[in-house]
Amino acid sequence: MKSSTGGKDELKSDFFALLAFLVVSARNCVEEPKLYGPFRLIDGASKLIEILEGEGLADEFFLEVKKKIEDKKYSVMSNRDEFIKFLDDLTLNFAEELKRKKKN
Amino acid sequence: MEVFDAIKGRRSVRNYKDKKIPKQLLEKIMEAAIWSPSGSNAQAWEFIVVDNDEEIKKIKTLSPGIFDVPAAIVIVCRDLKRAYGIAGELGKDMLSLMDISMASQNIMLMAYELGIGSCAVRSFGISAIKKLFDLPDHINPELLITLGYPEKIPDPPKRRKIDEVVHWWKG
Repeated sequence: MKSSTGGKDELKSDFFALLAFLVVSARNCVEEPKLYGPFRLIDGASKLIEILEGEGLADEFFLEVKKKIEDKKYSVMSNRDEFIKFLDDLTLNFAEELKRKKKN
Repeated sequence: MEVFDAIKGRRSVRNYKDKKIPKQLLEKIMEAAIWSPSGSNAQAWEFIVVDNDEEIKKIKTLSPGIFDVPAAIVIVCRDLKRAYGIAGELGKDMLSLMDISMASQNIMLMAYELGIGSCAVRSFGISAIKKLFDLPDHINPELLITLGYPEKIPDPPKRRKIDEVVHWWKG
């Protein structure tokens, strides 16, 4: 877990890196394999959670999502079906979390 | 190490230990690069070796295909002017790409023999890297090769069967 002691400058630098990642990914997705689009989006989600984690804003759900992404994201390169199932499961996790939050 | 063992053992390593690579090993890896074949012996390649942490982080920022901070990055470039001058249109448009690909494989195999992991990355901002390193128009960055001591070595991905792709011609 990253420390949140770096303050505003560190946060700004983390967001700069995230934005650069998104912008370069957007450009590269023009020519890259179709499945790399979802791959960059899900990798971007993990990077965003990492920033939230550094700021002490990531709850258990976010951390679990990040762990699942890091465990499964590379399947895009070896097993298309596994990658898509992982995205399906993650989508369901968000639906479950929404339902859980509604109850509370 | 047998060449065949290096060929079969090399993996695309994406997670690295926080440990620098000694300069003499990087030099040996780059010497392997320049001994690869090239069309018309054009050798229309340029390699930028970056092992400074600050610069590595800048490259990573512009490279969605790099997932960890490696110990070094080789920016494999084509020299389009040289390729055209020696091997004409064919050299500029095609041979030089083949040549840097073969040089890149040499880099990765040599690294493997030295216990160093590597990964060839094309997912980077080509024009952004060109700008970052003030490269002239005729020098095109085509591939990044990350290098470092492996933190995690991935399982070998499935290979297509040899009988499916190798065809023994019976004339």
